[in-house]
This record gives sequence, C-alpha cells and structure tokens, in this order.
Amino acid sequence: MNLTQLFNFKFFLQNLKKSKASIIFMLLLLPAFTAISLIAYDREEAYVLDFAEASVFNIIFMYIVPIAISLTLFSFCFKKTSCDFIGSMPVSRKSLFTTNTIGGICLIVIMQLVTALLTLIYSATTTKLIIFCAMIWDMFLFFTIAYIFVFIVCNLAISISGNKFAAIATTLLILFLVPFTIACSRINNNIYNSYGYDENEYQFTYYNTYHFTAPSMLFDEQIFSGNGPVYDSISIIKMVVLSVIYFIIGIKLFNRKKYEVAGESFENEKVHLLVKMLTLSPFAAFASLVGIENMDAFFLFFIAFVMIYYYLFDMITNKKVKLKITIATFFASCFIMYAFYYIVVPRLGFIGMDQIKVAEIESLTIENVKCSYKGINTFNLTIDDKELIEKVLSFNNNDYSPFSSNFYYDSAAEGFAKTTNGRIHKINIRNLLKIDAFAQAYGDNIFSFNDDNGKVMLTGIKASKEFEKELKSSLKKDLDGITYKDYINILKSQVEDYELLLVDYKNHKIVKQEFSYENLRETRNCAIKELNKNAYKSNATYWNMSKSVDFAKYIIVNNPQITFSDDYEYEGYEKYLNEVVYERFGEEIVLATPEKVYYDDPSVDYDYNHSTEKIIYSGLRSFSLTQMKNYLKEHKDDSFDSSKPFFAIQCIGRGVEGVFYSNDLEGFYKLFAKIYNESLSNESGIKLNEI
Amino acid sequence: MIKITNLNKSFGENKVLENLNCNIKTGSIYGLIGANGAGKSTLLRIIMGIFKEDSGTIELDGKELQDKEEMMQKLVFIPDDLFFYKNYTLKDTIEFYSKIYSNFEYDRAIKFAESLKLPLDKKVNYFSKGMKRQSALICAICTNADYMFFDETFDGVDPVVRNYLKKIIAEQMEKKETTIIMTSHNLRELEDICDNVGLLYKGGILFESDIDTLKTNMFKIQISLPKEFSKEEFSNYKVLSFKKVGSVATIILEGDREKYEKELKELNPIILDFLPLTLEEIFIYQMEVLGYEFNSIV
Repeated sequence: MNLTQLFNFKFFLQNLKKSKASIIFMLLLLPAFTAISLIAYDREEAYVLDFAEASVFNIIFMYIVPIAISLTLFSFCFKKTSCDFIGSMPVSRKSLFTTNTIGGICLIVIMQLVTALLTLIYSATTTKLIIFCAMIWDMFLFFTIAYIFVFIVCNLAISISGNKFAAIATTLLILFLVPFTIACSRINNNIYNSYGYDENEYQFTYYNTYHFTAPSMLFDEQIFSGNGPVYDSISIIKMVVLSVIYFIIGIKLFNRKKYEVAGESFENEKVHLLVKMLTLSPFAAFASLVGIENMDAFFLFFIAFVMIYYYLFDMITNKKVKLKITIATFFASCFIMYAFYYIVVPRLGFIGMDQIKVAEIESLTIENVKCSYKGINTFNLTIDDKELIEKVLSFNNNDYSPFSSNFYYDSAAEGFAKTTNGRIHKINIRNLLKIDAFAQAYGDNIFSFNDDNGKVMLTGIKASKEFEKELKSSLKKDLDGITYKDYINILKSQVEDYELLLVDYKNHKIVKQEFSYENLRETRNCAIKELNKNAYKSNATYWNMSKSVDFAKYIIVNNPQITFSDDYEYEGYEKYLNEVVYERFGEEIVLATPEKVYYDDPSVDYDYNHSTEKIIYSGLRSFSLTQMKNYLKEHKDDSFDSSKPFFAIQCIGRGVEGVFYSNDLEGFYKLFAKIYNESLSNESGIKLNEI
Repeated sequence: MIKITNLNKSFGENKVLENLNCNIKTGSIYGLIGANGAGKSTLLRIIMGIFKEDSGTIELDGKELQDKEEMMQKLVFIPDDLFFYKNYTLKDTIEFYSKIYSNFEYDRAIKFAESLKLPLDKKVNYFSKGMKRQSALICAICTNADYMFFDETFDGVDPVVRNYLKKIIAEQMEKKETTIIMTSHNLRELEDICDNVGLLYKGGILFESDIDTLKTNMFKIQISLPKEFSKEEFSNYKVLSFKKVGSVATIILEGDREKYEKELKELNPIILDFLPLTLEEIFIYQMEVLGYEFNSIV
C-alpha cells in the first residue's frame, strides 16, 4: 500500500466537502465552549485553573465530537445507494478506511490545537486567570489521544455495523463494557467491605489499580468523588496501543464489510443479538445491586423494563422486531446478564483483603477532610506521627466523627510494598476520628491556613516584569533552603493574609505550597512596596482600615474604621451609631477613642435597614478623600519594614483594589485626627482626642 | 475480457447467483436481461467489488479485481438507484469524478451536460429521475474507463435523450475499446445497441448469444401455398414456431435465409413475405425451444 492509497487526499477533500457544514460545526464546538468557559473562570480575583476545571468541555465533547466525525466521514456506509456510489469509486476499501481515519485524526488534532492555542493566548493576555503552559500541553496530549481513541473505536464499530444506531451501540460497548464491569466489581464488593484494627495489624480491602482510558474515566472513583479527571500516562499509553490495535482490526473488518447490510444493524443476526444482550449490562448490573433486597417487586419491574428496552433496541437499530427471537433470547439474556453481574463480576479479582502491621505504616492520609475548626476547608491530611497513626487506626468504628472522608495510607516501608505488590491501598473508613482528640493534637498546625482574599501580588507580577524580578529575588532570599524551588506562580499573596501560596504544575498536577509570612519578610516588604504604589494609583473612593487587624502581632489600631461611600441619606444617625457600636464592640475598640469612631461590620444587625457604609455625607467624604489621596501620594515611596509597627489601609474604588502599608504611625494618626476633628466636629460636635 | 466462473452469491437463505458462468468479449456491449430480482444488479455489484461473492471468480483481462485501485480506475458503475451528494450541483459532481478518476475528461462532461441542457449549477438531487440518469451516464462515460457497467441504463429517460445517450455510448466505443455491460428488464431498450445479450434466470445465464447472429439466423415468414399445407411441409427446415390462421401461416425459422428463400419459392407460394424479428420475439421463440415461457422469465 503506497502513501496515496494510505491517504487519498483528493477523496478525503471531497468527503469533507460533501458535509463541510457539519464538520465545521463539530470542529468549532470545542474551541467555542472552551473560550466561554475561560471567560467564565476569569474572575476578578486571580484564579488557577486546574486540569479538571479546564477539561470540562473536553470531556463532554469527547463523547460527541469524535463519534460525530466518524459517523459523518463514514456516512456512506449507512445507505445502500451511497454504498454503491462510493463502493464503485476507484478507491480501495483499505484506502477508504485509512483515508477517513487519518483524515479524521488530522481534524481532531487541528481542533485540539486550536483549542490549546486559544487557551494559551487567553492565559497570556488575561491578568487574572492562571493556566500553566505545561497543563495546556498535557491537556492537548491527553485529550487529542482520547478523542482519536474514541474516533478509532467508532470507526471499528462502523466496520461491523450497518447503521448509525448499531454503530453507536457498538462504540459504547467497546468503550465501556470492560471498565464498567470493573467498576461494578468494586461497587458490588463494597457490600463485603471490611476493615479493622487488631492488636498490631490492620486489615483492609485493597483495590488493584486500573488505569481507565479517558472515556472510561466516567467509572473512575476520581470522577465519582468529584475530583475530576487526572492526567494519566498509563492511560495515554493504553489508549495509543488500543488505538493501533483497533485501527488494524478496523482495516481488516472494513475490508470484509458487507455493503449489502447497509441500513440494517449487523450482517449477522447473532451479532445483533449479542450486541443487544451486552447493551443490557448497565441494567443487569443495576438489577444485581438493587434486586438483592427487593427480589420480587424489582424483578417484575426489571423484566418489564428489559422487554421494552429490547423492543426499542430492535426498532431503532433494525427497524423491525422479530417477536419469536426476541422472546426466546429475552429470558436467556436476563438470566445470563444478571448472573454475570451478581455472581461472576464480584469475583473477578479486582479487589481483595490484605493486612499490614501498623508499625510499618509511615504515613496516613485522610482525603477530603471537611473541617470547621478554623474556617471551612476541604483538604487531604497526611499524618506521619507513628503514635497518632496508631491512635487513628484504633478508633472505634462507631465513634462519631465529622470526617466523613476517604482515608488511605501509603507505606514507604519496603516490606509492605513487597507483600502487597506495590498496590495502592485505599480504605473507605467512616466515623473513625474524633475531632476533639485530633484537633487537640494537631489543630493549630493543621487548620491554620487562610483561604480567602485577593491576589494583588499576582496582579502586580503580571503587570510588571520589574516587580516580578524583584519579587523572585526576594522569594529566593526568604525561601533559601526550602526544597520547593519553582516558586514562579504566586496565587495568594496579599500581605495581610497569613500565608503565601505558591502554585505550580508539576508531574501533571497542580501543586501548592504554603508559607507563613513569618518566613517571608523580604517578600512581604517587596510586595508592600508594590502595593503602596498600586494603592496610590488605584484612585480609590473607599478606604477600610479594619484590614490592619489581621496582623495580630503588630496591631496598632484595633478597629477604627472609616468608611466613605456615595450614599449620604442617613445624616444625623452617626452619633447614635457610635454609641450602639461602642456598647457592642467596646472591648475590641481599644486604642482609638471609642465614642468618636464609626465601626463598620456587615454582621452587625442594626435596628434599621442600612449599614454604616451608607451614613457618611458628602462633605466629609470629599474632605477625607482629598486628605487620603494627598497622604498616599506623599508617602507612596516610603520604605516599609513589617517587623516594626505599621498600619494598613484597604483602598477600594470602582474596579480597583489596593492596600497601603506604612510604618508612619504618627502621620497616620495625625491624618486620622484631622479627618475626624475637622469634618465631624462641623457636623456632630464630636472630637477625636489627640494621640 | 470479463470471465466469470462458477459465481455464487446468497443473501441469507436466498440464493441469488448460482454457478454463474459468463464470458464477455472486450470491446463489446453486453446486454444483460432478466426479471426483477433475477440478480442482474447483484452481478454488476460483485464485478465492481461492492458485494463480495460467496465463491467463484471474476477475471478482468485475466486478473482478479482484488480491491486494487489501478484496476478500479478501469471500471465505472452506474447503479439502478442513483446516488448523488446532497449538496452537490452537477458541476460539483463532475468535479468529484474528475478528482477521483485519473482519465476523466472534465470539459467533455461539461459539453455533454450543456448539450443535454442539464443545469450545471443546480443541485443534482433536485433533478428529475431522467436528468439524474443522464448526469450519471455522462459522468461515467467521461471517466474513459475500460469497463462500464450500467444498471437499468435508460430508466426514466425519454426516447429522444435515450437516442442521444446511445449515440454518446457508440462514440465512446469508437473512441476507445470499451466493454460495457448494460442491464434491463426491457429488451427493446437494448436491441439496437448491444452486441451480445444474456438472459439471467434463476441465478445463472440461461441463454446468451450474439445479436447479429441471432437476427441473421432467425427470421419470420408469412406464407400461403396454393394447396392445403401443415407444419410437416416444412420438416426440412428448423421451425421454431408455426402458427396458421386460415390459409396463411406465420413461421419462425432458424437457418440460412438465402437458402430457405430459394427453396420456399420453389413451392410457388401465393404469399411469401420475410419479416424482421425484434429481439424480444427472438428471445420468446428461443425460450419456447428451451421449454420456458418468456413472459414468465422477463
């Protein structure tokens, strides 16, 4: 077979031309929806897009686009007249199959390339959305191969089927039957799942790892648990190998394909019956699970359902129902499939029991811990303290725990790895942990990270190369000796937060590392310098000084907050408010003179429908705005040392946000007093004491 | 030359072709006739490689087809049920053929289309049945293929255009040595263009012959003798059919016409007319000799 026969470009071009509208539509679907999703993710705050989030439409269209392309390119196979037309052309069957396959692969590659470039360009041009180039490449590779795999599977299905419905049914069977059966074996086994701690050994149920192909990841626990798909190199190799095998089988079968069955389901009634029976598998699997407890009632329903399903399957794929054959095969199919999923599948050996000595466990990971100890967070918790590992494992199963999470341990001990052949041991343990005991031991260290606030530093990095360089240099000074070296991407770094979160894409995963500001003095100072510049530039119309309370160690002004807004219809309430606020929050307002400041807190439930954000009138606002602007302008280049007492002002304007930090406490209080003394005295007679 | 040997094809339980043997000479037009469902289209599809034979061989110039594109370039097939791409105009269709067939004559096809007043820029699917047939035929002829297979060749084509198409086919035969198989269930459509005719019946070629030979060797006479006469008077001749109404007999004879004419004149006939036989009549009488009733076969 020469190159022209392998890919007959002229024929492929004509094949494309005849259905150019639908091909173009299909090719545009993914890039268009990807663009929409990128815009949707592009929020005000910086955001790191992970593999699962970025893959949503790639996954959805994986089940549609390759199949649609395949059905379109091979559309001539489904009608007798078009079979005559194409079959009589001087293009050999091998050439027809290889041309359409190679051409379809090219279309998929182009589509994925466009999508990847679009993502890359969007990532490069937006300041807020972070999409790692390595991840874009991974997605391109993973989904291109996945789409090609689905496409080739559909081509193979077309080689043995005579109409679209039969081809789709066959495609789904080839794609899903085996992984579905494996997934069922796991679900079934949960019934017998057992685990337990006995003296120094821990019994557990293990699962053999199974690398699902991308379309079959539907049955993967990752998807079930809401974690989304993950890049899987073994899955890629599997898809490539299977694609090659299916392609070769496809050529052979297409060469022997009987065009005379065009329009019918399959050339052979037995194949039709087999496919029909196999498509019963999801229902049979469901029946084997549900039917155990409700045998009689459920089986009546199941049988009725299968009857209808068989009728519909025959009508859709073959446009005719052979009643005798349908009835004859119906009961046999029900029995065989049910028995298979109820008896055979649980014993397929994808699951087993094993035990491990507790002393050999080096680390224990609790997946998706949900905790409200300090803030609400979900995270994986790894424990490497031997004593605690034993304590956790020995908890009584009936103990109450808010951790309704998966929990697995991973042992680096060689003995353990050998005895279990390196399998990943995953245990589904519920109600194992007592939150109190756990929190007492590890609470502060574990639950201290803060997960909110802005990404000012990141915005700064994106906006200024100079700052990026300076920041990296600061980070190097701060992080010297810390093993995490690629701290290029900084997600969460607004200086009033407790931590710096470094994000990177390594080994096909988003990795995050958090650092306390205690260790990041240089970085913090560098960031504050930039922030001060931005605060001045932001042309803010709103300042919130309450942010300064976050730095517990260096609190200067506990809660004096001055708020300026456009709304001034509540004139005259300020005095009353001050009194109310003081009564409620007096203890918190320490240094500032309580009766002469406004306290703003959205959680305060005032007796009337407004917040203090709305009570400042125009004169005060205008005056204070000018004062603040002048102050920021004058002090924007001041040096800053976070080890010394300082204050922070959050500056909020329309579409802008910034924080200004300064050690100029004296200047700040003068400004503060000036604003209050000179403006409030005119309106309410209140005077702020001199400090 | 097309040589078909022991060809068998079944669709499920239904045997369509059974031990079919046939030789078609290069450079001839072979008319294949048979009733609906006789297997004419199936035979053509098998020759083209669209259907796979169950057993038997088909050789073109001594070589089996075997899905080879070089050989497939030499073949073109116009099926009975025509197919055109949904959005293609006639111009697109001609262009399609020109891309796929290496020897396709694009300008000639356009010229034919214009002669037949076929709108080039109109979608072929909107054409009438006859116009579609004309479009398919001109595309096929312009491929310059060595072997052309036309199923129900002139189905839906009016007599004027039919003659024009026959003329085009004849021109093509003159231009290049081409072997054509045409099928029809109507003998009249084929008699003035085919060199050979085969009758397909019950999966095999029941009868085949050269048309010229058939027409030369078979003739019809109307004769009336001065005396009373019966079939026995003609026992020296090969009589295929004898019908006598009153004193006039209509006889179909097979043999040397000149010799027969000379001998019959010696009987001093009152009436002796030699009448031409249509192909259909020839077939009817041949079938009767073989013991079949022609109308039940075709």
